Amino acid sequence: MTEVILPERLVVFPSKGNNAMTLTSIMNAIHYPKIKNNVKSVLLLYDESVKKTTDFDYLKKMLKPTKLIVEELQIPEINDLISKNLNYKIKDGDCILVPALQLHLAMVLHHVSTEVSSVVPPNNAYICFTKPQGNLVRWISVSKSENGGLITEDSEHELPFKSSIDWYFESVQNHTFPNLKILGSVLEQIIKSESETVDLDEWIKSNDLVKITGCKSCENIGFGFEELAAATIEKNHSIHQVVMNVKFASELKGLAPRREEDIIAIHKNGNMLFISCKFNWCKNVEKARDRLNLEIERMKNLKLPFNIPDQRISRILVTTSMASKLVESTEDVYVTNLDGLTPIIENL
Amino acid sequence: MVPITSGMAINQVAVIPVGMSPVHCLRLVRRFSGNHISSIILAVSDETENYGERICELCENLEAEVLTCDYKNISTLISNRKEIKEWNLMFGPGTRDMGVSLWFDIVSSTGFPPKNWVQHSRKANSGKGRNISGESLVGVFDHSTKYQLEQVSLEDSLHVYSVSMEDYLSYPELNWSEDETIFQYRIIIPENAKSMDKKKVRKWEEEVFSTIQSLRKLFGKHAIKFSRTLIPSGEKLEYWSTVGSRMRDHGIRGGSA
Repeated sequence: MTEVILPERLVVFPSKGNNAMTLTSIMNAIHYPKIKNNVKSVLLLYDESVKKTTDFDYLKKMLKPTKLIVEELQIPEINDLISKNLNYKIKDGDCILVPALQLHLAMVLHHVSTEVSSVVPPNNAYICFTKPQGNLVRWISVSKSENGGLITEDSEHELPFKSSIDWYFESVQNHTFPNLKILGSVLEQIIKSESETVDLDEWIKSNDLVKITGCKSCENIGFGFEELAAATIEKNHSIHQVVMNVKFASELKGLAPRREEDIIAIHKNGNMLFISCKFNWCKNVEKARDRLNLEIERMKNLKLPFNIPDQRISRILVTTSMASKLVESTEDVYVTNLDGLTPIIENL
Repeated sequence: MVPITSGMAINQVAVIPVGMSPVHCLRLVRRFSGNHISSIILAVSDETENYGERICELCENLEAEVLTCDYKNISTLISNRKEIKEWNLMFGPGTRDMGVSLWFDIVSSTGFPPKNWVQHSRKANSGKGRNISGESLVGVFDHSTKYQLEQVSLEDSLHVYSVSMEDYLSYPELNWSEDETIFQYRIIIPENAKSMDKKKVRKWEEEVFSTIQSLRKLFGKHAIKFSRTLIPSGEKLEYWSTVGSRMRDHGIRGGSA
């Protein structure tokens, strides 16, 4: 019986300009200590266009704590890949992380099959796939059968938290952290009273919100509302990290930030929460509804600068209690008042 | 699901996962059919089951038999069809999850890997990376088996998406691009854009977003590509640049004049 070799080297096709995806796949693959202790290196397979658009220094910096030796191999560009083939030589215990591009996937699976069923095959190879949800990993081991075919075995594992906001923030120009320092019980009281009031003016005054949240005036209460939402999210035990006022760089260098988003958080399940805050007085119900619907549409279709599967992003629109009743909350975009934020986050 | 018919002489089967761009799958089915492939299995998910069935309706006269199967049940289908000599698996349509899952199920059920196929075209290295060659169906296993993919008519595309011609024609700026196999909608910035006040611009913008919303609902967001003409720029026209930013948030890009 041939000896089973545990994964020793990760073979990775870095995602184009998307180190977060690459890092998530690597971290998921080495999550279990037995594998982590056995994997010594990571081989990055990339072509010229990926090289041009990906900051490999950033990737290596993020990989430093793993102590993995980083090897690199340039492969032909997509235009030539069909005629030139992958120039990568498989080794015992190589573990292929499923690439983003299906052309690479088809080629690397063909390569693994051919090599493993060859005359002098490697003992075994692995395929590791982080499912779109981000917290489910499928392992497939491939070895040669007695009749010259392949034997495959697979297992699926659910993983705990494994991402960091830093991974996604290559394209972020600047951001702030939640600034509101108040007791949880006071925050709860403010939120509770908002859910019961029909007079937002009175709610702001009676809770002294202009002063507490540091917004300049009652007219700027939208900023204070963002602070309240961020503080609520930060206090939630299911949340790992929260940042506010995230300014994304323009694609054209030297230009002012292209866009600012209110709150971005990382859930302890590793997924990203993208939260928009809209303080709405609801003085004109029709207008309020139209604006919320427009924002829901924007959030649904928003192209974030980090290209991660939709399944790993939850979109939440936080608005005033009265406004939240005007539109429908769906799984595409949850719509809630401050009071409903905690249960939504806990159920994600 | 259509059950695989027993008693048919099936020696070579192609499995095509059906994703959210089902017209691509129709092109692939038509190209696989007759090229030594006697049966084509459309591996569908809950989301794409209807697309699969409508593709089958358009393929009744093809040389190959075309069937649908839940991609999670392919192992059962394989174990019932021991006489099949060769499995071919298409990568590209459908999710990577479907691709990995189908590959694994074929290998573990037959003991041998399938022949992998991809859709390939040469793309320009600059600009938007448009295709500079026709799209082909290419066998990864030998790098030489290559079939040029044909275009799909507007009528067939509408059938796959279950959209009536009447609905299609109600959007004058909507076009079917046979070369890119996608619907394209061009947003025309009004000729008098520079003289429009902020309120009128906002109203125009809301109407545009409402159209975008209804088109995405009708076709699904993968089937349609939006573009726009140039937005005006200059002093006292900053609100047009805000419109441009909001459109970018919706994935609609374009320059300014």
